[in-house]
Amino acid sequence: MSSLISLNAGPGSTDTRLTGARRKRPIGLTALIDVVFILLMFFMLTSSFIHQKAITVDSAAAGQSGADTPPPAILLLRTDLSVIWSADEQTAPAFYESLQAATADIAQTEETIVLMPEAGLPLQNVLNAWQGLQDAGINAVLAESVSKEVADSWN
Amino acid sequence: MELIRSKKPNSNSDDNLIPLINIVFLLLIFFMVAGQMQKPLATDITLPVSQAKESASAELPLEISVNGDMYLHGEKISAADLQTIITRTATTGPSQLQVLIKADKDMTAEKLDPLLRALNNASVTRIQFLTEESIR
Repeated sequence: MSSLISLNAGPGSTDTRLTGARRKRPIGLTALIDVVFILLMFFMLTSSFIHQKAITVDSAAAGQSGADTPPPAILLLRTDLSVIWSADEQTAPAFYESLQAATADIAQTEETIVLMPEAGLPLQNVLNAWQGLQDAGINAVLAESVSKEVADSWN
Repeated sequence: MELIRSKKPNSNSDDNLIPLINIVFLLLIFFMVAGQMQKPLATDITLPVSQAKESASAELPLEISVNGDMYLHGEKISAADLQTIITRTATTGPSQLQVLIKADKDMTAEKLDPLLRALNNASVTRIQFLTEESIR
C-alpha cells in the first residue's frame, strides 16, 4: 500500500524509493581489465619491431647479349672478400675498401656491369656489394655464381 | 553508519585499479601503433641486413633456407617445380612478375643459381630480396 502511495505521488515528490531504483549501478572494471590484458598480451607476443625492407636486384638473363654486343664488364666478388674488376685483382684488408676502389673505376665507364659472385660467397656480401654499386650510381645485373676454379683462372 | 562501512571497501578497490588500467591502456596503444605484424617464415631464416628503403611487394614469396631448400607458401619445392610455377605465374607479362626472396644471409651464392636460371628462362629479370632494416 505504501508503494502505491509513493507511485501515485505527483511531481515534486521526495520519495527516495523511486529515485533509488533509477540510479545507475557503476560498471565493474574487472571485466574491462581482463579484456585489455588479453589484448595487451596478444599485441606483445605477435608484434615485431624489426622493419623489413626489400632490395630490388636485376638478374642477368643467360644469353641476353647478342653476338654483336661487346662482352660485358664483369665484377667478380670472391669469397676471401677481394674484388676482381677487369681481370685486375684489388685485394684489400676490407671488402668495402676494395669495392669502393673498384666502383670509382667502374663509375667512369657508364655501362651496365655484371656482378658475378664466387660460389661460396654469402648472400649478405652479395647484397652489400649490390647496394654499394647502387649507391655509387652504377647499373649492375646479378649473374649466376662461378666456381672457385674459374675465379682462380681470372688472376 | 552500517551502510557507509559496507560501501567503502568496494569503491576503494575500483579506485585503486584506475592507475593500473591507465598503464595497461598505454602499453596496449604502444604495441598496437609501434609494432608490426609479420607472417612467420616456414624455416629458420636469418634475413640479411641492409639500409634499403623500399617496401616489399610479394607476388611470389619464395623462402630459401641456408642449405638451399626452397619453400613457396610454406611448402617445400624443387628447382623443377619452381620453373613450372614461375612460368605459370608470369602470365600477366613476365617482366611484371615480382618475386620476393626471403633467403638466409649466410646462404651461399651457388644456392641462388637454380632460382636465377628459372627466372631467366621465364624472362623475369627483376627480383626482390627481403632484408631487415639496419639500426644505424
